[in-house]
Amino acid sequence: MADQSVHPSLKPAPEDVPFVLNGKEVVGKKGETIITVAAREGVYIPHYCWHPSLSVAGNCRLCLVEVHMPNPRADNKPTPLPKPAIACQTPVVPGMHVFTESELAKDCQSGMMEFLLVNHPLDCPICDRGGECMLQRYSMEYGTGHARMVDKKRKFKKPQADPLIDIERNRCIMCTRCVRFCDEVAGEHVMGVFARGADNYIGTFGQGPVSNILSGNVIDICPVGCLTSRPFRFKARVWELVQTQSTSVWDASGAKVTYWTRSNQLYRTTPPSRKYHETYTINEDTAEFIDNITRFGSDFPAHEDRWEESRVRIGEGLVPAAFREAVRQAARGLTRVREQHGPDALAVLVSPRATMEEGYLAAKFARTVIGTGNVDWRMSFQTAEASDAAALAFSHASGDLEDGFDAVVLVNGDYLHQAPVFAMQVKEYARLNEKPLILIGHHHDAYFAPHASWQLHCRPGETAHVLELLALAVRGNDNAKDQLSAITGAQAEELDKLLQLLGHAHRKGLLIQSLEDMNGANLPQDVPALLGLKSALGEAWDYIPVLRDRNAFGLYAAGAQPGRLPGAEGAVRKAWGLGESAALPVDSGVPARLLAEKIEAGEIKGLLCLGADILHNAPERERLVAALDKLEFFAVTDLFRSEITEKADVFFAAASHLERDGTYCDLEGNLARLVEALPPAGGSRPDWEVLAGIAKEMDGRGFDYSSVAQVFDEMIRLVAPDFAGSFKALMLKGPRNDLTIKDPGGARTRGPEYNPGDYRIDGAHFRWKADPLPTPEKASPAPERQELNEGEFLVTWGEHVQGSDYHLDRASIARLLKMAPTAEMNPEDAYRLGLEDGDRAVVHTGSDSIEVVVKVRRGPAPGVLYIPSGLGDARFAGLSAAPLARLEAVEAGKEAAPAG
Amino acid sequence: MLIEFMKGFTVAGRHLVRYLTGKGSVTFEYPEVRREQPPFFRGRHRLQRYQDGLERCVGCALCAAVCPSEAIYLEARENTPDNRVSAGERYAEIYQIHMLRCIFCGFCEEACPENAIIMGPSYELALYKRTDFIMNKEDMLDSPEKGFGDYHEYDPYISHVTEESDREAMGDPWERTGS
Amino acid sequence: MPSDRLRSLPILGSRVGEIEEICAKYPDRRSAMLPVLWIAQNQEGWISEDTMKEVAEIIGVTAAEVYEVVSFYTMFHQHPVGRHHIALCKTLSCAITGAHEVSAYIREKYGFDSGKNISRDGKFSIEEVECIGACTEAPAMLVGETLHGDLTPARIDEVLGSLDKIT
Repeated sequence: MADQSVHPSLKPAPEDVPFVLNGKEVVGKKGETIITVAAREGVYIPHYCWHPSLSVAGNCRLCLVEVHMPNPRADNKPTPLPKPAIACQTPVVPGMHVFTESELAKDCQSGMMEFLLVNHPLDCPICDRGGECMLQRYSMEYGTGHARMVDKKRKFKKPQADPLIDIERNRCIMCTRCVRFCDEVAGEHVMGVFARGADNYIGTFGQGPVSNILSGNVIDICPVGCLTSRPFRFKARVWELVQTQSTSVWDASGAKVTYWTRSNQLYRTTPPSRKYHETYTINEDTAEFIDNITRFGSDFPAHEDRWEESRVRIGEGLVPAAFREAVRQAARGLTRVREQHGPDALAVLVSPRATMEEGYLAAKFARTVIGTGNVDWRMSFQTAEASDAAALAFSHASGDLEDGFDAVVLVNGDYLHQAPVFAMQVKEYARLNEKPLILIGHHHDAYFAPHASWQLHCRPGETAHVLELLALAVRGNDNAKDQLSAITGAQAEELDKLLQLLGHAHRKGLLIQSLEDMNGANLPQDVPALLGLKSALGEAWDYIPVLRDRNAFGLYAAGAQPGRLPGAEGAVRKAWGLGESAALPVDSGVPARLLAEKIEAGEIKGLLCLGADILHNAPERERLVAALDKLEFFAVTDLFRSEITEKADVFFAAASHLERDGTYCDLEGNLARLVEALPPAGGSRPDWEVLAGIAKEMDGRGFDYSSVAQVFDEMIRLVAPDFAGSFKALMLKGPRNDLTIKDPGGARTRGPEYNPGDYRIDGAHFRWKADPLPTPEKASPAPERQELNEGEFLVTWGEHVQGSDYHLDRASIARLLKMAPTAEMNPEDAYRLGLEDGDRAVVHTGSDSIEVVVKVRRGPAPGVLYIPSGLGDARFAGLSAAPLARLEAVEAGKEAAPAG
Repeated sequence: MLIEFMKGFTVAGRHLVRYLTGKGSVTFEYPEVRREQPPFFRGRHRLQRYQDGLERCVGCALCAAVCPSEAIYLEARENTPDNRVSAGERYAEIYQIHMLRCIFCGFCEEACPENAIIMGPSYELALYKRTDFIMNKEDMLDSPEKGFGDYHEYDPYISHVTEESDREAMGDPWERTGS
Repeated sequence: MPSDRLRSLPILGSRVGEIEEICAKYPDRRSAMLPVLWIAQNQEGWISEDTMKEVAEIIGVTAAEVYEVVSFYTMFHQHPVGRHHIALCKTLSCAITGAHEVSAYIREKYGFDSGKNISRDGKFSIEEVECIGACTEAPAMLVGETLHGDLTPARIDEVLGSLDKIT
């Protein structure tokens, strides 16, 4: 190979293939199919089964085109192929002539439409797909308008398989998009094509559910009305709904979504809709998939517990009050506590789902108006040290999936259930481009495991040691390699191959680490170890920490945590109107994790909490809730009546994610707009108004904002130095999505340039600059291994996005989908204990025991049990190390053993 | 001159006789007597039923989509075995027409794929309160007393009722019946 | 280690040795699905959902994938069949030479209730299948694994009558 810097896994750029498409000279790449080149050239070829993210099936036959090939026996004159060819599977060949709108092609298209409609019921008035159905669309454009089929149509019985997805097999046209999606993208072959010939139908084995967190996407990719959304079933017709391009409130991957609303109600959430002719549709060919939590869990503001007006405490009760009155009361309360106990007796908490503007204002409010550094959002970590390790991780974060990678290393974590879309994108990129996936640690994501090239397993607590050894081995330390082999049980030659791959000069590598693993119990060791490995691997490697909290990165950037300002100190002082000598507390803040302790000790007397979910989802919830009683003043903004909001002295009805504007930052550092899709319910106000109101009431200067756009403008000037790429375009944009859709040549193009709801168009995303950590000279001593007896395991855990959550519990998905606690274990352990996938078992940890459903996956290391936290009763609050657990199988039909 | 008088009186007398006997008069006693409307008359909306009492309307909302004055509002629900309202899987839970907005263009009738909504002969649409002009489903639906619609029977491709019950009656072909 | 686990499977556990031999013939374990299903069906007489799950575990695929294969081939029975299983061809050649009449005749004469595929005494079961490759002697049927062609009422009685007596 001429270029030695290119790794063998990188393929050379494919050759150009010139050919003629509808009389126009075009150039494709070798190996591309006609339909991909045509789509790029703006020529639309109708299709059902072809989807850019899925493998080619070639079974709908709608993309038939007329092809003339150069005939070597006739002087290379283009000669018609004897039969029309399907555009989705026919590769482009130099000199070929393709006709997509010839008489023959049109005849094929209308003929195929008639065939596909032979068994299709004429129940469009009933069908939920009506209005965005590809079958309707193509019938109008390519169909004949009448059917010659006079016989009785085929009928299937309707299964009730999935609580979220409705299957109506009569409408299926057997494109198998859903089957391929489950198989390829979602990673499990749970759906299949059953029976044969005319009796073909799709379904799941034993009418089971499509149990996957990405399963909702089969609804969108279904071109007909076979798979429809159950929560949205018959609620409204799609053409009646107003669409707002916004971003997910759940997924830290920053998935873009469309909220479909009508008369102040959210009806459904989908990936971004696109324009086709005069209408917007969703089941267009797009790789933008979203997870089920975003899809079915965004409707929680409509829950009946919603409090739509602000309240203040009078005596024992909370009585509704005007917003101004609530603001006055809050300002009075905060001022009183500050005067009596000093500014550091006050704390401001920000929900991890707050927007960047709210985080910025909270930081500004705490530091200038109150005069304290006690502002934080990091409640989910197990210890305060873990929060600091997370801050270290954020400061080294770089990398963007958009740039691709040559190899990816994933350390510990249930990525699919912490940042589902991000995990899917990583896996899909690695799978489609055949890039090596390396999993390291005690718990590997079962979603990645089947595609992993290397899996280095270790025990909980050993990850840092393994990473250090790996860094040393990359540097050429053979002793470290031997130790690594001993600890992970990996073969020496396998390790050699891995080290060769890692050490090779890469175009780009990616290190991904979950900060959720065991609620960050091991982060203080793991983060520096991985950053050391990053330095050992060199400049070409990027690092992305993964956290479930939606706006963790945005709040970090906005300075809503101790030890961090939104920008350089001088610039912040200037923007906030503080002189050189004025106090600006930065490092002195109390981490949110220590809040309960500090309240109990009487050091914190007043609390302003933006979003009660941060308190509800805290690992030590009970302790915190009890501690709230000791506060002298407690103000909270939230949506719902709950035991926490009932304790408030002042309650502000907050505008939900559907009812306010703002900016979110995803874990790759990209900004995305949250856009107001509904007017705020009742008297609810966005949190930034609450903060600005209280600040003004407390005589704070610089809080005269009239819109969230002004907050954004002020903030973005400060955080801008952390941006890579131009941010001028970003300044010009208003807070509302600029919904310009490039639609040249009469809407027949599918443009990749359409990107609603984010600022990626000019490459504006965060890149924090931090000095690389040095690779350690020698590894830390290996932790002692505990001997495990038969049936004994070390338990690891991680937050599960579908787990119990203050807001999610009030969404329709929580009502429809009851998740049982699960325990993932390695196949080796399962075989030894005679357990199989789906068996029930009881896990005893010390005094606790929970009943779980066993999942046999290649994820957890041998001897390790992974229990997602938050599902059922699975809670691991206050644990800093993996507890020893005994697992007992429950025989089918028997009740679980009593707790003990 | 007398002759002219007599002629005039004859005309008056003829009309008097006509009036008294009621034969050939062009006006009529409206509340007691009502004019027959032509079959294509577009009056007050009616929602039809099938012979067995199920509603024809499946709540597809095409009428609401086509309505130029946006007078129709509806919300659909799913039929359950316990509560079967229409012949399809879906029925209109709420069906409202704002009669003050309606311009009687008949587009709803034309758009309806199920022949559920038709515009009837009734033209008496005066009411005392503005809110009363919002007609609900109950106000428009044919009731057994009013008589059912006279359209054709179930379309086999729309009805999921008959087919499923047929299947259930047949049972599993692989189940042993004998001993 | 995995084979220990497979050996403990209730239905196919005892056949694991045999199955592993078959699997070894193919580069991909998935390729062994048809022979393994044959083993299962020859042992059990039909393929239940539990059997499919076991096959899936042995082969290393999902149960849905096994069910796809089982439901595709009419040779695999998803229901318990009679002592003698009749696979009657319903494809073109047989259909135009009277497969429907043959079906009706068998169903009437050998004790099938209407709409049932298995006779009252459980001795016979019948299934209309796709082409069995005996177009030259249409209409044709397979009884067990034996082909009988050129079916007439007399011929059917000759074949099935003798089987009827054996029991």
